[in-house]
Amino acid sequence: MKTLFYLVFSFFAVVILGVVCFQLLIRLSKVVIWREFKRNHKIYSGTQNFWLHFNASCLCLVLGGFLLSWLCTGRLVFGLIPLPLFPWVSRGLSQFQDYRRKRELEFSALAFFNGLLGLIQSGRGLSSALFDLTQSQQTPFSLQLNQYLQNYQEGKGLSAVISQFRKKTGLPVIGNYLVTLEMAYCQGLPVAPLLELMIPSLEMEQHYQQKMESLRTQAIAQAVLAFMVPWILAFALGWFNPTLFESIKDKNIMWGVGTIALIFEILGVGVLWQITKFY
Amino acid sequence: MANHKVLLIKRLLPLSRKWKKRRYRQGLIRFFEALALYLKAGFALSYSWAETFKTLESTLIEDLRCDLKGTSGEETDEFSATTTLKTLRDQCRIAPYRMWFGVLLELYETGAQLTQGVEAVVLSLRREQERELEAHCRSLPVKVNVVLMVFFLPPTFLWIFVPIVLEILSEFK
Repeated sequence: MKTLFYLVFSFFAVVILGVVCFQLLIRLSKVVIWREFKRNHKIYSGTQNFWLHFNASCLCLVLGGFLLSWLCTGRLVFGLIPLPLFPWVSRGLSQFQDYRRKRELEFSALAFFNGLLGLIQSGRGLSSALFDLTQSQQTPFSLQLNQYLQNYQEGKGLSAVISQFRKKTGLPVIGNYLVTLEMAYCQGLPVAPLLELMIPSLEMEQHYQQKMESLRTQAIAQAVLAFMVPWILAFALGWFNPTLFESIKDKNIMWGVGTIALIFEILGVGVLWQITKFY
Repeated sequence: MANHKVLLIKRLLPLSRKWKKRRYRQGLIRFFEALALYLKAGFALSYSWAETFKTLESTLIEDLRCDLKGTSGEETDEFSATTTLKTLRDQCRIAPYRMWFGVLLELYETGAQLTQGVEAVVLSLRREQERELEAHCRSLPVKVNVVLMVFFLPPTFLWIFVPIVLEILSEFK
């Protein structure tokens, strides 16, 4: 039981430590000197950035694991237990980070397209409007697009630049609109009517996306609490009535009960995940 | 697991069919929005359809891609809007949408203005999507509660009652 508790405890400790380490790294990357260093050396970008975060979080987790092991058991050897969890923890964290980045980009795109429509309606060309907006707005979408528009100044076509931006950012909803924008630009079609169609659709999609996300978050919070309740009850039983707990602990049926409870809960989490999806 | 088995399981899942229909509709909305733009600029339907398809091909789901791909006319190798619309009217994977293709075909054959027709299709599909999203958001709390009761309450009761039952049974022994 002690070993099981230790395993569960180390798992949660690894997850929490991982999140803390990752957040610290993100904060660090926002420090100007660090950003300048990255820009000057151009070594930590894209996949390299990912590996930097991966290695740093692994290192922090190893140190954290050893520290926890030493604090809890007085021995360092148990610090090796969280090692196999590193790839999953890091993968989960990087996926979450990527999801947050995409979400920020998508939500800031609406203001950008509104500005773009305004400029185009006032008679500007698409490329000039894009340049003006990316240089004046400080939203994640315009900052990201601004990086790709440097290629336009170096002689690349605007549609190729938008296409590159679309492929690299991998935004599912905005990506589709950008494809249509590219098409309109290539064919010489008017962009303003397209934007007039796009903006209300995008507004609606973002409104419902936000609504669904908040509902999903609520569902996940409820599921986490509901997941923990049986185990808290088991813990409470062991804490308040140790004699009863000791008497039933050795019976095989209790392992069966624990397994059934766990299977039910895992199934429940899966079903919850599926029913909260819209597409 | 073999690919056909995965497909079989997916077909059996009603949720999967629902998602597929939603993704199909989403793709159709994008396709018709772009098509309306071409038509508004004064291009012919055949050219607009082929160009829109070429541009959006990579973003469409497999079923929709197959449906919208269109067929070449029997006599010429050029894309035939009439044949494609006829095929879609008779064989579109989502039966209620066949009506829209029928309307577009009729408009095309009579030489009427297509832009407004296509925009009406987009509007109707968007409203349908909006309604479904609203319904989904409305029904979600109830569904979540049911899942919580079905999957998370039994383990709680197991942990409450099994030790008590075991203790009572051991008293009788």
